[in-house]
Amino acid sequence: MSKTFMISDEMELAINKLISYNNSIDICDKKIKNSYTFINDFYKGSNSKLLCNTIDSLYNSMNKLSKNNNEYCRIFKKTLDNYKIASKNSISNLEGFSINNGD
Amino acid sequence: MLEIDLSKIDNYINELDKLIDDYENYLNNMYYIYNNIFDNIWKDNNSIKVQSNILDDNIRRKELVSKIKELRKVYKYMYDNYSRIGFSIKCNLDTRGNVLFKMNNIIESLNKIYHKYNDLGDIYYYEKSDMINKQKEELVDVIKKMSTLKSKINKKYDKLIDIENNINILISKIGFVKINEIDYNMR
Repeated sequence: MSKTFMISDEMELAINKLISYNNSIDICDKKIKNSYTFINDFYKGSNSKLLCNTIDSLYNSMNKLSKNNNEYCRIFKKTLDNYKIASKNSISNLEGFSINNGD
Repeated sequence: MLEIDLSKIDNYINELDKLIDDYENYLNNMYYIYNNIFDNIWKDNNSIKVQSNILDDNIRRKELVSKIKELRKVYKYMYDNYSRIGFSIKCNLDTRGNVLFKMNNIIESLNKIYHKYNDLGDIYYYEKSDMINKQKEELVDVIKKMSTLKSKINKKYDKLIDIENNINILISKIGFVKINEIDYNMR
């Protein structure tokens, strides 16, 4: 496939916005996580443990997605840097630049 | 032990509504930026891999938001159903048998006293027959009230156990979302 990368401030701006949204999402995640200490204020019953485990499980999933988002931002930055370096020299310098998914 | 204080739960549901709104807004904005990057800025073999993972994560995020909404339904169910019983409830559901056993003993004792009145035979010959009759009627009234109270308490226990069981079903339905953590090894 043809390679396209627009080296512009737009990419840096996008990365910064993504980091900002990810931070905001992290705050929402933590509010969900912290909610089970609050739940104990109004509910203690046979389902308390199940409820807390469920919230915990949801939070862990959210946390993993946030880590993924941080990883995407890292890859965007790295890609931007690599393309910047490559554009200074020649596009052929991108040989050997590859992403291996850890999974 | 079951302890419910519903005075705080209504506020919490409102906070959760705001949290869900914020969450959805942040996610929409975030995926708009991702789309912009892959549509207009970055296209190569690597971008396809990253985009594919991001699209997959987006599906998982939406699943998570729907599960948070299901969690909200649990709190709403708690509020709607427990508020029909009371705004502050403290009850040890395990002691149900003991409480009902004691109430049965009281009713049984009252019935024994009532039968003693019956053993008196035709009370019209007694000097204070009117007073005895009145006491007997009052005793019948107390026995009826006690039986009604026992029945009401029994129904409350049934209701509380029913609500707890339904909450269990609602929470169990939420389940979990499996997320694969991305770890790019970029050269």
